[in-house]
Amino acid sequence: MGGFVRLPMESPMRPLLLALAASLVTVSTASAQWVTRDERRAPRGEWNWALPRELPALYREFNGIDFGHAHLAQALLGAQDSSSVETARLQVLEFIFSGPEVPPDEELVAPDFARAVWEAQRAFGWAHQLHRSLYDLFASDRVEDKDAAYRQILADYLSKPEAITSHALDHHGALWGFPESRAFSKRFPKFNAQIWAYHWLQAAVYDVQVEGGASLQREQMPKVISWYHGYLANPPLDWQFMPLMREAAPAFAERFPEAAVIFDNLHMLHDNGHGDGHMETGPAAGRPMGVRPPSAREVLEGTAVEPVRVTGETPSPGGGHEH
Amino acid sequence: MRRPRFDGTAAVFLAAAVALVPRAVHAIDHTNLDGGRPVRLEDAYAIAHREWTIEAGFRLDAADGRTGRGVFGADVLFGLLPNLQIGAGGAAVSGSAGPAALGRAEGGRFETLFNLNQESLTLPAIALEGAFGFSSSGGDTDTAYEVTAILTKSLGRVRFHVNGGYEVAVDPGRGEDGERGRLAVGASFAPGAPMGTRWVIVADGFAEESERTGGDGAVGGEAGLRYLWSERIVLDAGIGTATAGGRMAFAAGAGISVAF
Repeated sequence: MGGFVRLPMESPMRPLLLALAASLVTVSTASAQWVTRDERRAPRGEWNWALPRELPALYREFNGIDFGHAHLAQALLGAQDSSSVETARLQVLEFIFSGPEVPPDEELVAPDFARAVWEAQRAFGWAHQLHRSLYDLFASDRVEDKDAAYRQILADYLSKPEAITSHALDHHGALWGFPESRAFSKRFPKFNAQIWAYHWLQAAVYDVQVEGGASLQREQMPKVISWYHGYLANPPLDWQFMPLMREAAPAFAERFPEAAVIFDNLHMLHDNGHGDGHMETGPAAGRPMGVRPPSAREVLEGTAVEPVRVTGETPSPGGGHEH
Repeated sequence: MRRPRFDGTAAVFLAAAVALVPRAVHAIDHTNLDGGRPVRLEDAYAIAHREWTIEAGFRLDAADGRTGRGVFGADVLFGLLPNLQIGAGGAAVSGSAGPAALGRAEGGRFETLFNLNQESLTLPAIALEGAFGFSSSGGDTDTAYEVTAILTKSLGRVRFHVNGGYEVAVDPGRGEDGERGRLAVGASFAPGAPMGTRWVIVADGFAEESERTGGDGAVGGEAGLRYLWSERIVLDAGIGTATAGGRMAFAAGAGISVAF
């Protein structure tokens, strides 16, 4: 029997195969951009896939939000003129309102971002996976001890090398005071407010979920989603700072503080990551936070304050692109 | 990976058909390609750590308009470690093709793929794959070993892939070894991206040496579609053709992959 390396000298493919092997050695030594992929499946449990099964409408909203994050990242790596970024924003709305049945492939939506900063992509991806696992958990009626499952999911997340810390950070002070911190919100306020609306939905639904089982969630969630669609149609420009978990989902934040802190830290990372090179300087502490977002409870009880209306062409639910 | 007893028809049968034998696929991360889903081209990425994937597929072959057969296969993959997957599978053949045409389509296979890195702005993604295959007939058990290097590099939203492999086959019944090289080059892309990424088109061209000294090598091409049915399920279909020693073969197949 021959060995793996016994290439017959007469083989016409020998030069090609040797060239391929040589290229492997060459690129393996170019370590400057060497990063491993490290994809990991979400923790297993009876809650897996509960969100698309029990709350498909909410699941589709999150698919749209995934696209929104990725498409913005790709857009900001290209031309940053107002027209291009506004086009990207409208494409995101078109995608969201199409009711995407599956998550987008974010590496195809934002190929340059994925190749340029895979570590960041991985940090965002794992934090979003934590979101999805918790949405599944609270949508599942099969899991009675939600707190134990939460601890399992949290421990799995925190074991990952690019996990975002569960320690509370000074968001409105130090972390909102980097030179790049407010560049995106100042230059593209509409898109920024739209992103904050994504983060408001991602937070607010937790308070609906922790109140009861899947049936109650199905009953109450449409009102929260409808409120969110209102933000998409009329971005909340009067917000001066990102929505915080304790504002949109106070019950969840009190019961599951580690996850709430992680998500606030994640959203802060998003906000700072959108810096586009137009830096500002100066202390951030003491800046006004503007109108603050309502909690899910306020929306459900009808006491939430309507956002300030803005003018402009914006897609609406029901319009849409088939994909 | 059974060592074929060549005649000209068998050579092209194998070349056109083996790619469409159901094998690994990455269902959740559906841009990932793997051999057989639906074409032979693989990309350099492994399935996620702790993920399982089960897949099954059916393929119809024809060569020179006189032979035909159906091939059914199933495989299981597991993400054993981050960036490392293992897999096992097998295939069964039915139809009117003669013994020489059965080739490696039937039998079992074990494989492992290790992804070394994520593609960056300049570096391609790189993976190494090792496989062991076997099949039995007439009291003989033929075995084959293969190692493949895989590169994936993107240009915009189009991903280009190069697969270069070398196989060593052992046939104790005949008491001789066979060796050959294989090369496949192709691309995959989602025509609707960025707004639509559920459909992915993949196509390749390939060349395979004959295991026999002086035997006819085969060249051919394949094209296929992959569709993300749900977050866990990918459907695929493909066609392929090959020629060796002046003879032609065709294959068409479809499959499903489920991740959990």
